[in-house]
Amino acid sequence: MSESAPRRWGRIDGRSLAAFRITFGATLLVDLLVRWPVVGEFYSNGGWLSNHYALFSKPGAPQLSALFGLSSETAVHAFFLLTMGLVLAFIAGYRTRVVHPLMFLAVLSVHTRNHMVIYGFDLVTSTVGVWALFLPLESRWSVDARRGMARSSSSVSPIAALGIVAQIALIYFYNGLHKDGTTWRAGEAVHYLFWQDAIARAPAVFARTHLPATLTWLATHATLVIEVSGALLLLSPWRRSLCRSIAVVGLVALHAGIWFGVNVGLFSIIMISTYPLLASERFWLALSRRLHRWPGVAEALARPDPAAPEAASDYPRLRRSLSLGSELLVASWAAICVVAALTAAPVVDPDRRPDLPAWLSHASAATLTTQNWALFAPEAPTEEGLFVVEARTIDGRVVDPYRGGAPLTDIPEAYGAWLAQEWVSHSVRMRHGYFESMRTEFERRVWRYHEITGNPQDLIVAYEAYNYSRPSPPLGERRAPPTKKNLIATGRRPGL
Amino acid sequence: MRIAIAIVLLYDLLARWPHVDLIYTNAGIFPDHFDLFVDSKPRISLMFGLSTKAHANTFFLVSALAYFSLLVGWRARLALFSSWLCTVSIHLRAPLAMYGGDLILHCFMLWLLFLPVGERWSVDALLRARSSRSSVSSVAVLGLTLQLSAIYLYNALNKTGSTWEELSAVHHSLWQDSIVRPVGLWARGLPAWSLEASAAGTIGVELAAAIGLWIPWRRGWVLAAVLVGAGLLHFGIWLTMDVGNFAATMWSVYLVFVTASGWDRLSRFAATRGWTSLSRSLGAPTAPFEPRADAIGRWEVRIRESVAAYFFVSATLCIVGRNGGTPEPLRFAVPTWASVPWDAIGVPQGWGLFAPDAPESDGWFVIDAVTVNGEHIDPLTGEAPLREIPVGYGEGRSHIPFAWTRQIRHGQWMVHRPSLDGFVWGAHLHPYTKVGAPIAAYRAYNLVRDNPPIGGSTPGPWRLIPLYESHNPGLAATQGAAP
Repeated sequence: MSESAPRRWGRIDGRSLAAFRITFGATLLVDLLVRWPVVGEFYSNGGWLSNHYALFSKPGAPQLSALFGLSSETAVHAFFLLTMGLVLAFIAGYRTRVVHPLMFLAVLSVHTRNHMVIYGFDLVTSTVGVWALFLPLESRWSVDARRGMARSSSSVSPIAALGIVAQIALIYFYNGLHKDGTTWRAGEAVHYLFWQDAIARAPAVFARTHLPATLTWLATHATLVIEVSGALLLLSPWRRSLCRSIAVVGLVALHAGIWFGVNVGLFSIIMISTYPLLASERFWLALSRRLHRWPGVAEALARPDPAAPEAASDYPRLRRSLSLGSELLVASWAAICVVAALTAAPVVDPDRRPDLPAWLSHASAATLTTQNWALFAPEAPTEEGLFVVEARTIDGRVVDPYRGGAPLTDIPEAYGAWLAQEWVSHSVRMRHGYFESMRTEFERRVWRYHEITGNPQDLIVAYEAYNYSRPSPPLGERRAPPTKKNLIATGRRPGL
Repeated sequence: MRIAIAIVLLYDLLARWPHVDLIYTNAGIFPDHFDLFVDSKPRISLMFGLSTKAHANTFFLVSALAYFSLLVGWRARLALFSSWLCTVSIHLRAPLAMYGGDLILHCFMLWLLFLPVGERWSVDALLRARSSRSSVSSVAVLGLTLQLSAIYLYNALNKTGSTWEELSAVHHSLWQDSIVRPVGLWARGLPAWSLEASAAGTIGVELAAAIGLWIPWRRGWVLAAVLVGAGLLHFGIWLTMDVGNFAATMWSVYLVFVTASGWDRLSRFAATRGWTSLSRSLGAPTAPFEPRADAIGRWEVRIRESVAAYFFVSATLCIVGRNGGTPEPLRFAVPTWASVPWDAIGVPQGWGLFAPDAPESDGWFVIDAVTVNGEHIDPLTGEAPLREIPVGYGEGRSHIPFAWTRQIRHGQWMVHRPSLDGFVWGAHLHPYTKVGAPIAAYRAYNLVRDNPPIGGSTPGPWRLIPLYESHNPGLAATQGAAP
C-alpha cells in the first residue's frame, strides 16, 4: 500500500540526513577557512569594525555573538579553531546532539560579529540551520550511529522534515518573486550583473561583450522560471521524486551559472549542500547500483534505515511528554517562520504590509533568520563602483590604506572575481550610505595604517575617500562609459 | 552537586533579575559598547549585543530554562554546558557587578563539565537502559580538590593585614551596614574576646580545610571533619552577612567530596527509617556499570582527561603565580597559555575574601542629582540621596548593588564616568529610575563612615567625600546648578 502524502512529506531518509550533515558541514568548514585570512580585517579590533563600535552603531538591535567579547586577532583565531573543531565533529557525526547546537551558536557568532559584511550565505546558514537542529542528522554514517548512540531517522519530526524542505523552496520562491524590476522584466538583468566588476568572473567578462542579446534575455528569464518553478516542484505532492529531480537539475544548473559568472561567495554552494535532503530512498538505491564497483560504498548506500530500537525505558509517559515538548518546539518555530514569511511576501503591497511583532523581528535579527529573500532584487544593479581611499603619508606619498598599495585610478576589470565576500560587502556598503555612520571606525583604522605596515613613514596625515562609479553599458553595447570619481569624505589626522 | 549547583544558579538569576535595567541594558550604567571599549581583555559572554530590557529578559529566561534542565538532569551534559555559558555570559556582561561567589561558581562549573553529572537522579538516567557508575576517577576531581583547597589556603594566607593580626577583622566585617544581616547586628554586641576568637577560628578553619582535603589517611572521617568545620564557617558568614551565593556555592561543592561509604551510610539510615525509595536512590547502583568499550570511547576519555589535565596545570600556575600569599621567591609571571582560559571566564585565581584586611570603614556610592525642577534625587535608587547608611541597610537589598557600588567608589568611577554621565542624563527617559525630569547636574560621592574600634559600639560620623561632579551638556543654562 502506498504511503499517504502527509506521511511521505513528513519523512526524510536517513541517508539523506547523513549526506546533508556532511555536505552542509563541509561547506561551513570551507567558509571558515575562507574567512580565516580576513579575521584581522573584519573580525577583530585591529580591523575595520571593532567590537564596541559594532554594538554602538546598532543601538537596540540584537546581535547574538560570542565573538563580541574577543578583541584581539589571536583570540578570534582561537575561536575560529574551536568552531572548526565543532564543525569537524558535526561532519563526523560525533556526539551530534551536543555538538550540533554548539556549532550553530559558534557559526552564528562568526556571522553576526560584523554587520557590515553579512551576506546571503549567512542568512541561509542560519535559517536552514535552525530547522536542521530538529532533525536526527546522526542517524546514518556517523560515529554516533557506529556507537549505537544515534537517533533513528524514523524519529524525525514530520513538521521539521516538511519545514526544512519548505524553507529551501521559500528561499527560491521569494528570490524569484522579488525580481520584479525593469531589468528583470526586460530580460537584461544578467547582462547588468555581468558588468559588475566587483563580482564578475572571467566567463562573465567574456559573456558580457560576446553573448547575443537573445541569450541574455533567455538567461534572465530562465533564472526567474527556475527559481519560481523549482520552488513549486520541490513541494509538489504528486510524482514527488520526478518533480524534485527536475527541480534539482534546474537549480544546480542555475547555481553553476551563478558560480561561474559572479562571485557571491559560498551562497550557491550552501544552497546545493542542502539538496541531499531532497533525495528519496529510490535515489540512494539507484546510486548504489551505479556504484557497484565499490561494494562497500554500494552496500552502505543500499542498506535501508534500521528500524527504531524499542525504547528500554520504564517511563513511557515521560518519554512521550518529552517527545511532545520537542514537537511543540518545532511547531512554534514553524509558526514563526510562517508569520515571518507572510509579512515578507512580495505579493503584499509594501505600504500595507503588516509589521512583524517586535519580539519576532528582534529574534529573527539576532539569529539571522529573516525571510526576506531578495538577491539582486527587485533590480539588478545598473551601476558599477569601487571604494577607493587616497591617503597622503607623512613623507608625501599617496597610498590606499583600504586595499594597500597605490590607489587605483579606474575600476579594474573583474577586480572582485575571487575577492573574499567581506571585502565585497564592506566596500559596497561604504559606498552606499554607511560611510558616515562608520566614519569613526574607518578613521581609527586609517590612522593606524603605519602600525599595520610596520613602516613609520606610512603614517597617514590626510585622506580622501571616493566612490568610483560607472554606469553599466546598455544591452548591446560593449564599452562602458567613463568612470566618475565622487568624493565621499575627507579627513586630516588629529593633532597634525 | 548538579542539583545543588542548579538551585544556586536559579537563585542567582532571581537575585539579578530585578537589576536587569540598571546593570544589563544600555539604559543602565554599563552599556555593552562602553564596557568593551574600556576593557578589551577576552571575555566569554553572549550578552554583548543584547542591549535592551527585552533582550536581557529573554536571555535570562533562556538561562532559567538551561538551569532547570540541569536541575532535572535532562540532556545533562548539554544543560551543564549551556548553564555554564549562560552564567558566565551574564556575569561577564557587567564585571563590576561580580563578586567572589560568582568566580567560584565559574570555576567549579568548569571542572564539573568533565564529569558525568547526569548519571544519577536525572531524567537522563530514567530514560536510558545503561546503569551508572558508583564513583568517578578523573583529573577533574583532582581539579575540584585543588580549587577548593586553593580557595581556603589563599583566603587564609592572604589575610595579612592589621585587622587580622589584631583579630579585629570579624568585628569590622560585622560593622558593614551595607551587607550585615540582623544576626550580624546582634553579634556586634558580643564580647570582644569572642569576636577575636572568631577571627582566629576563621583563619584556622581555612588552613585546616586547605590541608585536610589532601590527607589520604582515614579520608572519610577527615573529609567529614573538614567539610563540617568549613561548612559551619560558611554558615556563620551566611547568617551574619549577605555575600550572595558564596556560602551556598561552597556547600554545593562539598557534595562531590561525600565518599561512596558516606552515601551508603545515608542509604542505610534511610532504610532503617523505612524510606525504601530514598534509600535505593542514595545507595550504590544495583547493576554493574558497563563503560563504552569501543576505541572511540577510550580516546574520548583520554582526550577529556588531557584537557582536564591542561586546566589542572594552568590553574596550579595561576594559583601559585598570582596570589600574594605565595612566598616571593616562588611567585612568577604566569604564561599566557595558562592564564588565558581563566581570564576569559573572569577567574584570575587570586583568592582573598576580606583580605589582606577586613574593611575598617563602611560606605556606599551616592549620586546627588538636581533635576531641572530643582528636586534632589539619586537616580540609582530613585530616592533622595543618602546622607548616611541606615543600620542594616543591606538587608533585603541583595549583594549585587553592594558589589558594583563598592568597585565604583574605590576608583572605577574614573573609568566609568562617561557611562555614568550617559545614564544620569538619560535617567528621566527610563521609568525604572523614577526620575521625573531631566537632570541638570550631579555630584558623585563616596559616603563613608569609620567602624568603631573593637570593643567599641560608637562608629565615626558619616562623611560625604566628593568624587566628581558633572553638568548636563544638553542643558547649558543650568551650568550653575551644582547640587
